[in-house]
Amino acid sequence: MNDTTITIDGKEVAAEQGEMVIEVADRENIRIPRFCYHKNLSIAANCRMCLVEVEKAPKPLPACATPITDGMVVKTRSPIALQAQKAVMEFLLINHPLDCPVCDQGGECELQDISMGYGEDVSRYNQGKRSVADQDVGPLIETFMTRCIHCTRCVRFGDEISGMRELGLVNRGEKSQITTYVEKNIESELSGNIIDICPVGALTNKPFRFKARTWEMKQHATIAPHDCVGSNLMMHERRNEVMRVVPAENEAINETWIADRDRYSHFALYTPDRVTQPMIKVNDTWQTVDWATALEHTVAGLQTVIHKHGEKAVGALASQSETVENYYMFQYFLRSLGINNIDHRLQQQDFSDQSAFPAYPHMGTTFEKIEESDAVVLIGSHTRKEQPMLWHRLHKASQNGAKMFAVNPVDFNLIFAFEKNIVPESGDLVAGLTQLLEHIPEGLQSATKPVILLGALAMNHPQAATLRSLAQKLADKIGATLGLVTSGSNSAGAWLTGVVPHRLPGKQAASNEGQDAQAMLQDQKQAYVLLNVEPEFDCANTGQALQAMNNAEFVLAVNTFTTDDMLQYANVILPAAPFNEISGHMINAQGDCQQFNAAIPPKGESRPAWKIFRILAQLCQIDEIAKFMTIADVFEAAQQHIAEPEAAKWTADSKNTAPRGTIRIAEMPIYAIDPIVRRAKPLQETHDATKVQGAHINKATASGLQVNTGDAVIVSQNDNEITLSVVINDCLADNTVYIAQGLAEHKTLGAAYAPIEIKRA
Amino acid sequence: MSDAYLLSDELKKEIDHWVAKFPIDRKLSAVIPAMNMVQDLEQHVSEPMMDAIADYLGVPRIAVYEVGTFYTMYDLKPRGKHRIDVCTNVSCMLRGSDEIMGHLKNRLGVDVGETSKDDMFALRSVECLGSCGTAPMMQIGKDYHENLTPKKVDEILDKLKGEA
Ligand code: SF4
Ligand code: FES
Ligand code: FES
Repeated sequence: MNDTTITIDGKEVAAEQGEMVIEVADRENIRIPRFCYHKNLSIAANCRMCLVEVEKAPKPLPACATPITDGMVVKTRSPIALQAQKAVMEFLLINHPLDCPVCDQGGECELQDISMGYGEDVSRYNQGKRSVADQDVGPLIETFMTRCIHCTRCVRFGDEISGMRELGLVNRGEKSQITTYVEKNIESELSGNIIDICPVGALTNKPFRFKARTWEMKQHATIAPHDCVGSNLMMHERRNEVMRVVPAENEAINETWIADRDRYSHFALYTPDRVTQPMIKVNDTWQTVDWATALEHTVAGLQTVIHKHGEKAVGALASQSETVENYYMFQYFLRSLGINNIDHRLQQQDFSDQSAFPAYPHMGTTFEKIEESDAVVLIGSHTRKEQPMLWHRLHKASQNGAKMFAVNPVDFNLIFAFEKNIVPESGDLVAGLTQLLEHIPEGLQSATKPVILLGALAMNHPQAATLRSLAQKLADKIGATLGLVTSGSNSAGAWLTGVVPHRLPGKQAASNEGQDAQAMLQDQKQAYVLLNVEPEFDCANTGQALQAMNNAEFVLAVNTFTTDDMLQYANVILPAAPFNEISGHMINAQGDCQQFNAAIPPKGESRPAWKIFRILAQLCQIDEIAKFMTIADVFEAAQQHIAEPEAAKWTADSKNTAPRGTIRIAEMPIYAIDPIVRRAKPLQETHDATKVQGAHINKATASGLQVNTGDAVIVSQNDNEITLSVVINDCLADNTVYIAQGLAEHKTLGAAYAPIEIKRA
Repeated sequence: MSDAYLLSDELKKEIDHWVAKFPIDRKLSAVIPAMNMVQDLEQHVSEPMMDAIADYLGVPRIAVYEVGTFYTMYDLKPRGKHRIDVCTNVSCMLRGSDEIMGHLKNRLGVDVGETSKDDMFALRSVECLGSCGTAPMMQIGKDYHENLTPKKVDEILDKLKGEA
């Protein structure tokens, strides 16, 4: 390393063989203008903006595509370099409209900045300019193609990062244009990144269009709350309103990208069903009240149930994406009252090996290391839609030559090549994994750095424990790292702070073990405490959860939003501030405990959930509560329990048997994963959101039922029938029906991997 | 959905032959020969055929559109029986391509980019065809016609008309 030195602008700097001049200059903070070069994309060298003078070279050279050599002398500001840069700038502006005042990119445009810095102040060009027709590419991205300078960053992004080549450069010469060619929506779940990398205003943020200028906004660092990657974000706010979200760079986590889910979810924050005032139900009518009244009402409600039915009659459910602080105070308050039915594993159905869990579920490796593995096995993981940024790492691993294997209930569109993709009948993942274990493919057998990942579809399987122990066997056989990829953004934090019924904070076994998320719904409780949970959307068995809520005497929801059902079953709704209005910590799948601060103050009377539980504890006269004055106090108490990831050893078998007959396959789709995402309008308009509607069956199942695409079928689970329209989808195995979870129309149905009846309507 | 079924077995075999000449991960290299075959066979390469080629090779469809729109040797729509491509690039322009083009427009009664009513002749201007030494020139189908004069153009057109 650093075996070579070169001189840039008179400064002698160390460099590595194989590096390009621009990389060295960037590291040394020597600014070279560029359009097509992007450090996380391949080199195209087509814009020529980065021309610099290199001693002994007859002509200026593009810094982005000129590898360094020892003793090279580079001049970025010499008369030759400046003249070349000016000339390129002039050419680029020939066809570029000078419409910056009406362009959304104005003020944050690389072309604008660079032409200020490196161009002439007056244009010599007074002939006509070309114009290019715009395209409708969907609800997220706005196009203004006349502004395009053909840097092809967006094209390379599709090729190399999203793995879906949707945009291309068609025609040639002056007629060149960036287009999808046939009118179609851009569908990648990472598509929004092309807005950031487009150096001009050709591709801009559609829902944000004409809403604000960059200089009117302040930016705040925060963490994405939708998956266990924990992408770093910058939230742009104007007068306490979130205007947009862009990535914050973190090479170890999200590099320079974020998923569309993280970029557009903030549009949910101002929907009409956001709660901003405490609400209580008196004689079946909702009243907006002050905090004191609401809290009093809450304590009275909970205590009445406890007096009448005992602590065991209360169940408490928290979302999978709370901060460490929220989790800690949630369980602290409940346990202080003697309530032990506490859980966050809303979607899971098999808890038989819960005491064998390590301090918290984690990936067993890091995002960066995954890129270097030579074989990856995905078990029950729709990674591409569950954790888009992790999928990007897998994509990179595959580009680096890793062999990919999967055992999944659906033949998901995997975009890049998989050696083997097992889709067992009836969603029987145990059978699928056994098959893989019995005939381990050569490419897996011979791998030296294999990784096995269990995703949400395995974690939520009724035989999850068996899947884990089979995966363990496979891992032992081939010497693989085995990891869990959990739903939500902070399941790790929930485990560590004891938001599970069998453990106190820090992996201590609870002396009074409570009931898990399933049991406390199956076994009707008289009171429920919800923390950002909408049981009719978020639980494994939504029909049952809804019923349990409806039949309970008292339901307290500490939530950011309400639902229609919640207004029926809840008795008190306390407004919890969402992630961007609170500070705290979240722990991602590789074990990074990331701190973030509130971007804006809580809206209306909303409060951070940890504060709500603290004051509730105070009102319940819990003595020790006085020690939690500030968020720092809460974190300090929680922090001592935050451990390093430890390896697990899975050996238990599930008590549940394999599902038989016609089975419902279900997942929380990418844009239904949590209450925020479900309300984000731009995301709900995407193809990813609409395509999961209906009952998906394969051709064989359809012909058995004598139905076709668009026909109505009646499906029933939990003794509840609903009518859905058929989608014929050959990605499904025989004897399976895919009906997504998290959608309002499906809420009365039961659990995933459970039998379902389907018949012609 | 794959549209590869639009390709005849014969064509697929031909494409396989070309695929085999390139490294396994360089399937894009076979796009040009495949497009050539379809163009020769059908006198144009329609969008469904481009999709079929892409799907058969397992490359992104847009990558085939890029090739199809880049080269003038592919017609993406049926253009007419005899497709006349007149070079109007520098050398040809200096040697009188304007006059040739004007003459063609008059004689055929069409403008650049149009096809005569009887679908016999389509006229287009193209960039340098690499025949500058014999400028002005035009290409009709696969044939180059060089050192053109209006008279020579008339003879060529008469001959083509006679054939039809
Ligand atoms: S649209 Fe933007 S990113 Fe794409 S080529 Fe044009 S200028 Fe570059
Ligand atoms: S940045 Fe070097 S050529 Fe575009
Ligand atoms: S300029 Fe006409 S053939 Fe070269």
